[in-house]
Amino acid sequence: MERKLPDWDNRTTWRGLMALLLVAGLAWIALSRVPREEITTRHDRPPQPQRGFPAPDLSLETLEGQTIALSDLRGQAVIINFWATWCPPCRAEMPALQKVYERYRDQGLTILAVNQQESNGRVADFTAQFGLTFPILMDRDGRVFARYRVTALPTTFFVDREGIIREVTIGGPMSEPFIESQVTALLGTTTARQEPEG
Amino acid sequence: MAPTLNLFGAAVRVYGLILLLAAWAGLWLAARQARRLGLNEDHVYNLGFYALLATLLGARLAYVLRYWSVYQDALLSALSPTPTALAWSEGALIGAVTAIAYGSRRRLPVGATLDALAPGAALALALERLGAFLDGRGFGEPTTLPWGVHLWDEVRHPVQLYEMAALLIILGVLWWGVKRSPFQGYRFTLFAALYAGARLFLEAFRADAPLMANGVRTVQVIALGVMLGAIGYLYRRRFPPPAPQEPPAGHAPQGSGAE
Repeated sequence: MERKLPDWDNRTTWRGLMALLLVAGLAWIALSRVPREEITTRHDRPPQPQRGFPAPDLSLETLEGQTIALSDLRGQAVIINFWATWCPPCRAEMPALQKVYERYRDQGLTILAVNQQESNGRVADFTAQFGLTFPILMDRDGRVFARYRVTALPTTFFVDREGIIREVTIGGPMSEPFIESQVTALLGTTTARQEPEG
Repeated sequence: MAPTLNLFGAAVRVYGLILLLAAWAGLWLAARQARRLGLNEDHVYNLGFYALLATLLGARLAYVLRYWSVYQDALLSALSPTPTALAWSEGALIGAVTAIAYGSRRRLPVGATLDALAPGAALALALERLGAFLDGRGFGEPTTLPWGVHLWDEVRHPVQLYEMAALLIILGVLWWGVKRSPFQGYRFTLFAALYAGARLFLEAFRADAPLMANGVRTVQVIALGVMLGAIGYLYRRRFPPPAPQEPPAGHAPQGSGAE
């Protein structure tokens, strides 16, 4: 468009530049708009252990030998907590997780505490000592830890009713109000405080 | 990908460490620029430092207030170090108010102070983008270009690095390119225009961009407004409105739009 060097002492140059930028900016915004059919692709994204992605599926045996799969829990808010008995912050946040679980279980909260390759006896002693009632999953070959790329303990994923990871907290211990605040956010996503009903 | 380090048994996110580095480097550069512009560098440094501190504390305070019903009976746990429990946008507002309060108490000239902060802000934001790249946040749209990076199960635009490159170029322009400044606040206005322009362009390559209802990327709309506002301000300063009759500074031009 320019015929020669722009003359910055001329008002017309400035006005032309602003008009050009306005038009080009609007055109670029229109061009880079996300098409309607692609807007809901959060659910179509590949599962990844990252906020905004569907949580990778996991299927593990509990301490009692029952198998639990994350895909069976669709419709519930799920906290996936990676932990080990030897990890002090993991121990420190367990009572808080238990309290929040008791308070919100009836509203559709599940906690899956995935243990890092420890023996049944050690984990059983621990859960008895802390009075934990949520499922303790035994990741015997470390596959789920690898799948969730857990590099530090504890690591906690907050998964909403549609299976999307809403928050990831690395490290701890998490305080009880923090866990509860995250849970209320998770439960609030679809049902705006419905009373009973699973 | 290096999201976490284990230091002395504590999990430390690389992103958090880079944020600290970005804050320190940004403040250092702002102080140097303050000296170049003849301002009290300690005051400028402190202004930045208190603003960042207030942002952090304000973000936690805002988070606690947002979930007041669960925090009110256990207020001490508001002090727990969980980095997820922060409401950043409210925190930024508190940080900005703190900066204004400190600046006016120290009688810092607004335009020159913003000029001093601009290169530091560009450097800090550039480092933050590097951290985002290493942490896999703010990731790009899928691409088939040869420089795409494999992340989250796709080959994607390394959009964080595009943003970092743009910020480093802007930093270069502000630090070496501006030889003389026609008015106080010129460098900052230039920074606002260039950074908004870069965001307007690069946001298109970002996969996790917040969207408006019709699929328009929200940041682009804000960026277009800020860019045109900043250029409009430069225009207004270049060609002041006539009003030759009234000497007592009648022109109060529209704000340049902070961020």
